[in-house]
Amino acid sequence: MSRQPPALALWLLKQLGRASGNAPLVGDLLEEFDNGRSASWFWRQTMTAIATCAGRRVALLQTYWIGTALGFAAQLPVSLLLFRLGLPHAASGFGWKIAAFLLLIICMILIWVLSRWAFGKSSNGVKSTLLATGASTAQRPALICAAAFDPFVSTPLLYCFCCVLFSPAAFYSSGVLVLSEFVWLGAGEIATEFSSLFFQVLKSRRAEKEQAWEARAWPRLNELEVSLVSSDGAKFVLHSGACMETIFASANEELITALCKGGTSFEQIRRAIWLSGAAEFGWPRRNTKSRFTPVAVKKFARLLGAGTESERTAHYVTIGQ
Amino acid sequence: LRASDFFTIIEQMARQGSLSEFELLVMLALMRVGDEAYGVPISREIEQRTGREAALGSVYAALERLEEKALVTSRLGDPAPERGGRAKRYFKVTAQGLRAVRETQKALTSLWRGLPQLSGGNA
Repeated sequence: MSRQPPALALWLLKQLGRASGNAPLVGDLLEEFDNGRSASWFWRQTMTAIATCAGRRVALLQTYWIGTALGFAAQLPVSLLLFRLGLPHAASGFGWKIAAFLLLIICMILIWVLSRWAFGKSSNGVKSTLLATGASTAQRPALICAAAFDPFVSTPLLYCFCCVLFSPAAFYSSGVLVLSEFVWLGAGEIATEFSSLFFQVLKSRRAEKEQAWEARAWPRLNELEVSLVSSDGAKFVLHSGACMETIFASANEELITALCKGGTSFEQIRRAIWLSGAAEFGWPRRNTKSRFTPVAVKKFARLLGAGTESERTAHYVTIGQ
Repeated sequence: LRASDFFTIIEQMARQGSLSEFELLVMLALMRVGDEAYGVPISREIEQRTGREAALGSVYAALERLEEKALVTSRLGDPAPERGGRAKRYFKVTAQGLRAVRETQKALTSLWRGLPQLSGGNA
């Protein structure tokens, strides 16, 4: 690309592509920008794309929202009744407040376990199901129940926790109680949405790195076949028909050349691998027939990638000699 | 009437409903562009024919809805450097999609026909 789009818009767009899994949309916008569209056009399109994706996510989770709204509505009489009765009372000591907090955590875990036991999934599981496969007509009532269960049980529980910390009077009126519960529920939902997007972005970035790693131009096996003759006369024949991952398939050419120049024997190469930490991934198993030394290629290659090229060369030459 | 019946009715209504205006525009643009149809040419086609800007995000959202209804299919192309290494997503109208467009055309034409307000150009 000859021109650079606005950095913040591009960053937002990349995260959107990762979160929504819609990389082609990001590519289309970059292509159009490269064709001469203005920065303001790029910003406009980015904002529209974000709004559209958010709207689509809300629409896909329609069943979840229905369940949550029903659960919230169903718990209101319970919370209001407790409020009218002035229950539970505020705790006087700090220790009791800590105990209430621990009890709240335990109850939350129990709710999660109970939801999984009763409906086969938690409320977050409902979201994942809807986003991944959608809901068939037969599934929908069960998904609504699973989504409703969490706010139905946890909202009165949180009300009780607040009462123990402060007092029921802290809500001033039943109207304030309903409003604060609604704000609590909304804030929780927004936080959950952002955290799930955040983890989705992280997961996608990891996958991108893995792909870039796979796409790296590792030395080809037939190239290595020529150069690998050690000082003790052992020739390392590497061919694709062996279907075996070898250290040489992942090691860079520079390292191999350095090892060979130093008159490195097969045992010394093994030692170099061991010293560089390959033993962590399992001691190399020697195949007597072809002298292949299989190790976890990806991990070992990552290990070789550490440090600068000259540092690596110096290190391995020293070991080799 | 059970709860599941209620959802079935809603689902059927959504399926049987004709294409929305924007979905119809996207379908027609897709058919015009042909085999190499992806987001950019589709949105350009809409812009050229209608004179209004079609946001790529909206085009993709419409295409995804159409794909869910099995009216279009998509496949990923190869990554391209001018697109920051991202692949193109090519779309194609299915036989069911063609039928839906024809039905919408029929419905619109029959509504159009014989409207006195639109005949003679004196609205």
